[in-house]
Amino acid sequence: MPLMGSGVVAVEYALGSQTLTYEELEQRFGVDVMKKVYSGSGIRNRRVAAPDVCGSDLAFEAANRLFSNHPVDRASIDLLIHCTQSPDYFLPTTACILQDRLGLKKECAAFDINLGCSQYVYALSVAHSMIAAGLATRALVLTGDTMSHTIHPRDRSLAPLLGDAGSATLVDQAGEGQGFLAFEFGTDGSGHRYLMVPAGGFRNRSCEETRREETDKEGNTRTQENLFMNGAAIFHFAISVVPKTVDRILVKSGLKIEEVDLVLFHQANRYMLDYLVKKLRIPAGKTHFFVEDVGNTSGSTMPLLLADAIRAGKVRPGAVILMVVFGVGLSWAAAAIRWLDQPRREALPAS
Amino acid sequence: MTDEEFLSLFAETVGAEPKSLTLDTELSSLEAWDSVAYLSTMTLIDEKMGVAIDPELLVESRTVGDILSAARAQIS
Repeated sequence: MPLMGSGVVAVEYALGSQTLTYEELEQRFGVDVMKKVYSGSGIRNRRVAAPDVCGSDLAFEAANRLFSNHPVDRASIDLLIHCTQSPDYFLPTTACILQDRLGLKKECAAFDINLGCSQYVYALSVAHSMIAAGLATRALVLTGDTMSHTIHPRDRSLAPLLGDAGSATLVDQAGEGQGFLAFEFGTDGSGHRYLMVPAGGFRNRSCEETRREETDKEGNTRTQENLFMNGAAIFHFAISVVPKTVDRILVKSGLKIEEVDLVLFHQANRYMLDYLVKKLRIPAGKTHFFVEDVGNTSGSTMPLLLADAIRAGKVRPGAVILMVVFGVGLSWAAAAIRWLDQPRREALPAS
Repeated sequence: MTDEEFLSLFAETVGAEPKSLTLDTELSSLEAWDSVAYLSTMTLIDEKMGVAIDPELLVESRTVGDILSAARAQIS
């Protein structure tokens, strides 16, 4: 048993400022291609960041929104975790830059976690662990990615799917039986090639060769420095691993599926989500979707989804929520949460 | 699942006329056999046969019957 519990107190997000519409992609790829792509994804529009905007800018915007809308004293934050696969630089770590930009105190641990679509739940687990162990008292968990900037515009396997967003989540101490109840993790690195940017890191350094455009047999153009996804392999991975992960998090948390009020899945695409919901026999009122008009925003989909579910009135005090995320790595994770009855009074002091 | 049941469901998945399909139909002859059809075929097999078929087996399949055989082999 941890010494101290913790839970999510507040979550806010910021979307890329531009909208890449269905109609624009229809002009780019053709009517027939887009009809087919839409039938296999259910994503109509996606929000993308301007070319000069970084994931950290979206995280920064979301964090400022959190500080504006929730009267938390930013000087009380002693842990900052930034989740990103599109950092500002190879080094320094983006979280350090955000600590300064956000005016957080210097007695604050700050580091990045880079695990794509799974990163938010991993970051929550680290925040929870550090609070439980007494190593931190109040954590700000940020996400921010501009994966659209890694995609070749002529890659129809990815351009219609991904959007850009950032988020900010405040994790605070909580009483026994409140907040995070259990976590579940998994990794299958044998599938790492199914979702990757093959070049530009230290294994395959950037050079003329890695910047050369190639067109595959399906007509997708990309370079080795663009994001690549084997969609069928990722779909296979998701429909294989998600049901098992739901079973395992239920066992770990001692919950029955009937006791769960809301099951939230990584918003990969609507087609996959509809199938998972049907396969797991989750009633329509016990899940939530937030992907059709924003796109798959990678590691930000879960906080976006959570914030939108709160807005929709689906997250009540005491509600039991499962979060299930999966993606790059290949990696996956789940969290069981009992939503806080109310935050500790001192967590949200009168401003 | 019988051969006939599979043929009927597969025809629906790829938008083909059921009577025009046999287990020997070459996948390359189907206009709609592409990466999106891979997803719907995986969904079909997972839902009706309870197995998430390895997509590599779909890529390697030459005929409709090859897909059914691969799915059955993965179950057993």
